[in-house]
Amino acid sequence: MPDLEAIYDRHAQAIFAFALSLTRSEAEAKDVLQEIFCRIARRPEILARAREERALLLRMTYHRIVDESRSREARKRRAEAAAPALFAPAPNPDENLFQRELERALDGLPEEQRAVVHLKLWGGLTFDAIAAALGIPPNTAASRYRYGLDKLRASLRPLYEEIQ
Amino acid sequence: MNPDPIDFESQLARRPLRELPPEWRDAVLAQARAAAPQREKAAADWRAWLWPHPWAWAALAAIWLLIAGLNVSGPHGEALYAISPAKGNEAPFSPGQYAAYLRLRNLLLAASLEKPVEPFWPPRHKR
Repeated sequence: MPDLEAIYDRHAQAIFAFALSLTRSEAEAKDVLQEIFCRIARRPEILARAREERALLLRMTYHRIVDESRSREARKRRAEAAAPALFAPAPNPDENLFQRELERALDGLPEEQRAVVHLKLWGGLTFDAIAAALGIPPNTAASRYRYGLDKLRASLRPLYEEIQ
Repeated sequence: MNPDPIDFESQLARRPLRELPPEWRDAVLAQARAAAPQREKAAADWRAWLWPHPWAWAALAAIWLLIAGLNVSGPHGEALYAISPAKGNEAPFSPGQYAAYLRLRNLLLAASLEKPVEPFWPPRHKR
């Protein structure tokens, strides 16, 4: 059996943040995290063959969420539930306000752009790694990022200028 | 005025993401272990069962090794089979010894009952 504890300590935070960013539901993020670890426990060879553990796990996360988001039940649950915070609380109220607006702006992005923006900005991945994680060409990853960032900038410009 | 793209990106990237709830760790890992294949789980269960008394199991293993050692050092293979049939073929008593045993038994029985006892063997018919 793989060392699940070590894998959890290395990657669970990244899986959780990515899942939370895409699903905007803490319960679903937990389900995704749980399922990823159950799959690793059932089929340890999945990770043994991987060159990049993190990229593989994020890819599994993404595919699981995309598959699930197709179901009507998941969409209904998300629409009904209040979206949880994506960022840690900031000490400054202005910063907190900015973060709430950023979360709203991220929610407005199409899922594929949100995934790339999240992995680039908060996952610290290169476009090549994002491409590997999402199963898309690197150019597509770069263009999705550019479009996504443009939309965020447009949404947040007034507030961003105000707090600068 | 448009925000500086690089500055804007770094501003966003600086936002700390929410921490993974620490209390999830045990639950997620326990459920993952439960989902592991049965072979792995059985091995883990055996280990969990054996572990509380390691000295007892070590002693049992030592006894088994001793028995195995004695078994190996004794006669085995052809030698084992060579001895058994020869002994098995031998009758425990000769006919004469057996007749003497029966006579003795009748005498003892008669003495204990204090009355005459019919001979065990029917008298031989004279030809």
